[in-house]
Order: sequence, then structure tokens, then C-alpha cells
Amino acid sequence: MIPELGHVFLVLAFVASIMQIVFWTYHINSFNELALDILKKSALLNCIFILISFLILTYSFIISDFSLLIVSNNSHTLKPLIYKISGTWGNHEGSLLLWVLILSSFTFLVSYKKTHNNGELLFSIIGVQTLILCLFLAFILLTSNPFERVSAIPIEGRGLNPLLQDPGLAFHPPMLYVGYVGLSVSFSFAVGALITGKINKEWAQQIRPWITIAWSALTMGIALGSWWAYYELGWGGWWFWDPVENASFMPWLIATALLHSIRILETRLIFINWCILLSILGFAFSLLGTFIVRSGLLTSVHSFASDPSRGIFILIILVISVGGPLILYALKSSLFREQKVQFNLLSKESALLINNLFFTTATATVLIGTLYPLFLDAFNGDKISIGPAYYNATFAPIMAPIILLMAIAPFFNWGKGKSKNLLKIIAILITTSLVSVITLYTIDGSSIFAIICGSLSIWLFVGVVSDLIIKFTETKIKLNKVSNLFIYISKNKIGMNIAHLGVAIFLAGVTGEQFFKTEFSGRKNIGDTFSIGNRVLEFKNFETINGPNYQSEMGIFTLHHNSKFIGYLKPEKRYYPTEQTQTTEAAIISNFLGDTYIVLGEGNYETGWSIRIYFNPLVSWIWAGAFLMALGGVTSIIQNKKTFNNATKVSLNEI
Amino acid sequence: MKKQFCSILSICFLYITIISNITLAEEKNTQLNFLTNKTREIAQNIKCLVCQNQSIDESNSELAKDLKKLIEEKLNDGLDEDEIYTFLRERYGDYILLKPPLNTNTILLWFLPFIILVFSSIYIFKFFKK
Repeated sequence: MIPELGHVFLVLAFVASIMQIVFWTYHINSFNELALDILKKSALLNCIFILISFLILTYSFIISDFSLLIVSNNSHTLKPLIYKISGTWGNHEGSLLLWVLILSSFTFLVSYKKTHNNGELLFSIIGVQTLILCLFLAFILLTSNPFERVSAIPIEGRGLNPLLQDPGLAFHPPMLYVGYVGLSVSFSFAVGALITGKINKEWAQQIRPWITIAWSALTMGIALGSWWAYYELGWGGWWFWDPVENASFMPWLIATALLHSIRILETRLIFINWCILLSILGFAFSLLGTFIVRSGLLTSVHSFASDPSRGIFILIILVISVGGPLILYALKSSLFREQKVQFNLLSKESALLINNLFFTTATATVLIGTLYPLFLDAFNGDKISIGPAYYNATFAPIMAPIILLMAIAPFFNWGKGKSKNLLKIIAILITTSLVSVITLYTIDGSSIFAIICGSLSIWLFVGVVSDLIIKFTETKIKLNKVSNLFIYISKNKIGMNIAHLGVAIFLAGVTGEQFFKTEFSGRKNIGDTFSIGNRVLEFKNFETINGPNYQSEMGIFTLHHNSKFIGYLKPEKRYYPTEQTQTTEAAIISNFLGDTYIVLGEGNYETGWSIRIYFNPLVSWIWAGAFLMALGGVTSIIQNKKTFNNATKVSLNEI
Repeated sequence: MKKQFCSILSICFLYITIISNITLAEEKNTQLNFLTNKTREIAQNIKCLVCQNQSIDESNSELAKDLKKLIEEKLNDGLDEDEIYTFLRERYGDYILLKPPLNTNTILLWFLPFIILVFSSIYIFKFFKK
């Protein structure tokens, strides 16, 4: 009975969304405050309906209601509670329900936030959001009903894919979805602007926090996924240029481009059409990502719940929700009046524009690499595979100039203004980078790419630190009290600096992991000692252990570094009887300098066990960097909100 | 101003030292591996045909093990990297190579990104001139 209630609420939300769309299209040319109020309230209603439906599904998972098809297929009574809950979105139907829940929440949040005297725009934004919601609800109800019952109720469920029974994977999809769906807001802002035919600096100021939220969430979502792949798949790698990874990476690249170009729009009111196009493309890539993941069109290490028949439906949604706005764009984009602005070659405008040039080209490269095999197969039946080597040769050289620019661009001025510190900064940058090139070369000159990658990290780091120090000294606040630090931070906009610092840290991590990794693989028995670099490992013992829903074989190793005891490493091989699958659980000792990573293979007491050990220098900097990027995004939202409130009181000139 | 640049420089050199120290501390000992570096380098560019998008270097499947052994043998027989790729291609088709070779099928794949870059740069440059 309870699951039926969940289904009813989902149908209610669907019917309500259809009515809202009819209402919206009816009033679109005769906008009034009352109509807006009705649409706002109904956005809240949709959100509540879907939330109830989602909670009911979660409840069904918690109580293991195996009369539901997806519960019996994806859950098990012995599974720990957290994975029963995360199992709600560990399958196709549930993850789509999560998707629409996030979408309706975003719609509600947009409508709830006070927009400044622009009800007409808000009216269109909610309308467009509801339209997307309606399409996705139709998709769920017609092809992927999460509340479908089974005729014969099984006694026990079939369990969740053990790879997904992991804390990283419990939070990765919701985070990623907040990113994907968050881009729908900037999409609706763009379509709203096309419908109303009005765009101004205020529009850009309002859209920016939404892009930033989506971007930060996407950054965290991708990082969590990569972290999970690193410790769970047991290959020691963190990014595989896999179609599903690319699917989340492309919207990220576009969102990054948009995040930068919207700065020009908000300050100078130029590149309006370009920003609108990017907003539409950002969400288009989100939908494309969903399509790639959900359709199983491309084989991937990440796709666990795919079904080709549903792919067509997502493709239809993609065509409607991107084709429509693009037609609208073609018809109406010429209406927007841009300011006549002049700027130097060395100005913020041109730097941000070049940033956009490289980011969109990089997106195109990833898109080509992801879809090319598919098109070639359709074209003449030839099958090819594209691996990391392709991206190293194309994507990496396209991104390198961005890093060069990233360090110096913050010192440029807007328009025709001269920047005073630029020459000195470039001198510092070149000196430190030369020093770093020489240092890295004398340590290990075997790989030119290692030197380039490491020096780029240092180049960027120097740039960001210089910018921070100059900002700091110009603030003229003495740092003799801790409380002054907060004043200092609140006086300066450092969101961008934090994010860029994150990129530098990330690059250092990449350099360490890609070029200075050492590894060992071979057969070892209990009592053996062996070394990797100046780390010494000893195989102490082997045990078999019973977990809540698995049996585990565990090797116990000790790690010494420079003859100092560091810790125990306990890699496992787990067997999940319900799912009849085996997983490897790598054991990792992680610190600031690097990770010691050990994977246990098959073996026995006579022959020993095959083991793989990696030492990955700086690898945790990769995720620390990603975290800093997301943190930078959040910081800039908070700081902009403050200045925005102040600015609206005083004037809008100097943002 | 002097103070400012001194602090910038010192922080930056600290960063360089951290990074270089870490890489310095690790002497490479890849000799311990059963497989030679060359084999592993090649294996990274060979797709594991029975897996879900892994290279045979990463995979522990039987096919991957056999292929790695095969590559090792071929290397010992004196074949070079390209000859091994050709050998595998003839046996399994282009599909097995993770780094697609440049031919009529892949010419767009390899050059399109740079064509896009060149054309959009020209566009932007013209925009600047205006």
C-alpha cells in the first residue's frame, strides 16, 4: 500500500507539472504578479510531492520491501543500513527519482530566492524548469517506474553490486546530480532571457551563484568518483578517460568556461550571446552525460545499471530541451544590445575570452574522443578504441596554455587600464619556474612531461600566492590577531584564488602520481620482507574473516619507512555470496607525501599470494586540489552575496 | 614592496623544495617487477577485450595475462614496439589498440581538436583586431 502511495505522488507531480506548463504558456504574454505567485507555490508543491515519493522509496529500501522490483533486485536484508539507503539511488529508477527530486528542489530554491524586480524573468525560469521536470517525470512513469511490484515476492533480495557498497559511492551520485541538475538553472536563466528578450548586468549577477553552486558540486562529485575508483577498483589509477567519466567532465569544462565568461558579461555587458549559448550547452552536456550513462551505449567501468531501450527516451528529451532553446536562440539572439567596449590585448576581457577558447576546444576534444568510435562504427563498421594515450596527446597540450594564462591573468585590468605589477610578477614567475625546471631536471630528467607538468604547478602556485600577497598588503590590515585574518578574508575576494590554488595543488598531485609512481608486483608468502623505494613491507599474516554480508580473505602487512614503523596494511579480497561477486579492497596508508597502496591477489599458503604494491607520491593532492576548487566556488558565492547586498544599496557600477 | 616580494619568493621556494624533496626521496626500483618496463608500457596501450574498458596492464583476467606474456616473448624475440602493435592488430583488429593508429579512419579524430583550436583562435584574433 505504501509504495502505491509513492507512485500516486509521482503521478500527482506529473499531472501538476502539466497543468503548470499549460498555465505558464497561457500567461506567458500576459505576465502578472498573481500568475507568478501561483507558479511559485506550485513549484513548492511539486517539490513536496516528489520528496514524499522519494522518502517512500527510501523507506521501502530500509525495511527491505522485496515486493518492489528494484528493491528485490538491488537490496538485501543483511546489507548495512547506510547502503540500504544509498541503494535507493544505486539503480536506474531510483537514481532518476533522485534526479527529479534535485531538479524540483532547485526550481523551488530559485523561486524562493528574492529576485530583484524581475518577476517576468523568474516566471519564465520556473516555467522552463517545470517543463524539464515534466519530461523527466514522463520518462520515469513510462519507462522506469521505481514502484513496480513483483508478482511473486522473493524471500531475499539479490543484493547491491558490492562495488557500490562503499561510502564514496553513497555520496558520489547525489553530489554529481546536484552539479548536473544545477546547470539546469543557468539553462533556464538563458532560455528565460531569450523568452523575455531582456538581459542586463543584474541577470548576470543573479545567474552566477547558480553556476558556481553547480560547478562546485560537479567538481566534488567528479573528485569523489575518482577517489572511489582509486581505492575501490584496485588498479591504483584515479582517472581512466572512461566514457562515463568524460560524460561528467564535459559539463564541468563548459561550466568552467561559463563561470569565467559570465564575469565579463556582469562587468562589461558584452558577449551576451556567447554566455547564453554556453548556458544552453552546459545543460545539454549534462543531459548527454545522463544519456551516455543510462543507455549503456558505451562500455564503461562505471555503468552498472543501463538499458538501451531507455536511451531513446533520454535522446528525445535531449532533442526537445536543447533543440527548442537553440531555435529560440537563432531567432532572438540578435535582439540583445551589447555595450560598446574597448579593451587591450592584455586585459581581463581578453584573458577570459582566451580561457573560453581553450575550455570549449578542450570540451570538443573530449566529446570527439568519447563519441568518435560510435560514429565510426555507424559509418563503416570499423571498431576502434580510444584510451588515455589519445587524451595525453590532445587534451593535455590544449590545457597547458590555460595554466600559463591562469597565473598572470588575475593581474590584468579591465578594459584599457594598465596593470602596475604585471612586469614584476612575470619576472618572479619566470625566475621561480626556471629554478623549478632545473631542480626537477637534476632530480630526474627522464621525462620531459614530468618537468613541464611540475613546473606548471609551480608557475601557477607562484602566480596565486603573489596575487594573494599583493591583495593582502594593499588591504593594510595588520595580521597580529586571528580575528584580523577573518576581516582580511572578508575584505578580499579570494574565492578565485582558492580555486586556482586548488588547480596548482591538483597539478602537483598529477605530476607525482603520473611520473614518480613506483610499483612492485609479484608473489610473496607469509614472513617475506620486501621494499619499495625506501619503504619496507613485511607480510605478517593471512586471515579469513566474516563481514556482515561477505567473507573476506585478508593479508596483514607492516610498513616501515626509513626503519620507522608507519602502520599496518590490511588488503582484502571479499566474496559476496548473495551477489556472487568478488571484490578487492586495497589497503592504503595515505599521508601528505604519498600513498602506499597494496592489493592482494589470489594465492595460498604453499605458493604465496600475488600482490601489487604502489607508492603514489602526492596522490592525495589530486583530491585536495579538487576540494580547494570547490571550496573556492563556495567562498565566492558567500562573498559575492555580501557585496551584492551592499552593492544594491549603493550602486551597481563597481562589482 | 621589497618585503612583499621577499615573502612571495620564500613561499614559492618552499613549495618547490617540498615537491622536489618528495620526488627525490623515492629511488626507482622497477626492476623488481616480473614484467619489464617496456612490456608494461606497451600493455598500457592494449585494450583488455574481455573487460569493461581496461588496459591489459590494469587487468588480471586470463586474456590479459596471456597477452602480457606474449608481449614479453615477442620483445625477447627482438621485435620492437611498433612490430608488436602490428602483430596484435593483425590478430585482433584495430579495436585492441587503446591508442588508435593514424589512418583514414582516424585522421579526423587526431586532427579535429587542433583544427578547432586554430579556427577559433583566428576568429578570436579577428575579434581583437576589431
